[in-house]
Amino acid sequence: MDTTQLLKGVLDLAVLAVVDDEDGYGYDVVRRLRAGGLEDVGDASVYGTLRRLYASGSLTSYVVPSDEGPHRKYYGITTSGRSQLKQQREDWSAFARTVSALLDTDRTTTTATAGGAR
Amino acid sequence: MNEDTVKLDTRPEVTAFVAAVRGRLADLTEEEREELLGGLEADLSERLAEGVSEHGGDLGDPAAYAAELRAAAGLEARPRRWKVRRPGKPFPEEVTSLLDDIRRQWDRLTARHPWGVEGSRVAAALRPAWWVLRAWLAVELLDLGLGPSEYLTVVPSLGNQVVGVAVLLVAVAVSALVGTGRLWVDVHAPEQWLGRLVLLALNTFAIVIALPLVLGGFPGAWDSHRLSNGSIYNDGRQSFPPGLRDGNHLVRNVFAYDAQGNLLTGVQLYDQKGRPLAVNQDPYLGSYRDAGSTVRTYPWFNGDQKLFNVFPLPVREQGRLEPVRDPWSTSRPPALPTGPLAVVPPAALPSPEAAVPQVSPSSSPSSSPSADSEKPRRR
Repeated sequence: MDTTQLLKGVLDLAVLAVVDDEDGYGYDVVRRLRAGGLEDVGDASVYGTLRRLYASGSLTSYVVPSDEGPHRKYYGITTSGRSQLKQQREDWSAFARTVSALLDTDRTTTTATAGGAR
Repeated sequence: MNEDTVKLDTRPEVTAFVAAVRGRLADLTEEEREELLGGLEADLSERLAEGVSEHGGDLGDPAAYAAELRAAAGLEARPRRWKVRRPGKPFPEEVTSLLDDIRRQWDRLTARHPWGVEGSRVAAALRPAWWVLRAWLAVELLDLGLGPSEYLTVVPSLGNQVVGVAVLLVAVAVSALVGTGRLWVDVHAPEQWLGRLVLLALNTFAIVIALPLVLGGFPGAWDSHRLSNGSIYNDGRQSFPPGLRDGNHLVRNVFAYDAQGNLLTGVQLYDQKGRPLAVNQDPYLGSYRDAGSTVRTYPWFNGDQKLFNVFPLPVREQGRLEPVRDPWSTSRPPALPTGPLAVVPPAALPSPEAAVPQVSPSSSPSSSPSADSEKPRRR
């Protein structure tokens, strides 16, 4: 199954969750997402998402000069980002439960469809 | 030490890659671009240093990278150049986005060069001055169209100095309100596309048409070196154009009265060598004030030949915006002026006979008996 389509829907949520754990710069967030199991995530997608969340006020950003190279741009979560994360977390849980329940009752058909779609 | 590390860490391919991505985000604003690209060099350097890449060792295709960046950031790809018509888009939005595009291209152009940046800053600071200037132009134009035919004044008169000043103040206030977007047109509102276009057209008109027209309405604007006596300074030397002159004063028209003091018309003047005594034919020099309005002189004719030595020259009140190509076929053709004096005191030559003196008796068929006329001439 093509997980990049699935990923698109939850990338905001995933990025918010990672930044909520600890402030991070772009590639740091990418690394933590990959370490968390989202191995297919593209770094440009993550940077773009960070930028969009920043523009909508869910994230804040600050620049940290680096001894080793160019400046790093760190992102941190804001209050509004936190409430967005909370909301989306609940939405996701409910959605995942629903889909799981659906798959449990109708496993055969879904597997066949997914296989065919590949 | 640190300097060395920086150089080592930012590898040339990273710099080139970021530049390539930046080039593909050229349609975004500077701010949007910086938000997307800020820290990218550091991130990419780190990725390369780790040797991890989803594209297999190198940085991949900057175009695809830019597209992914855009898509995730919610900044849709915009066309690199503006198009005249994008089908399916309503016309107002079309106009607004076209104008926005032009603006963005312009900003990008000026941002490229330090002079452009500095120039933009100066221009932005000068905007209030422009608001005042265009208001002044509008009122001067009004004065030009409505006012009596006279030269323009720096403070528009509009017939009355107080009215002129008041109208000017109101115009400046309106212009400034429009300029700050508080009145009439808010350039950022897409539904005001028509107003925005009209404003653009008006501003262009003010610079291209109104400014030269108004400046041309000031006295001496045709030739700033031309003096009121008709002399012209050229390379520091004063030269006098041909034409009747009384000392320093340029003669614009001549009124001849006969010995009884009555105004003559159609008097042809020649000098002692038979050369026509003509006034200067320059339209500016040929105009003068008569009974409160500025009039312009026109010649008599002999067939097609213009005669500027036949007096008085017909005059015509000249509206400032009026075309003067063929004044004779207008509703107000040039007419003979009444003259500064209706009659003048009679004049006589000292003659024992005390008869009515004759100026040129031999040539005048209506003159008195020739016996009288010979005497004054020999005197």
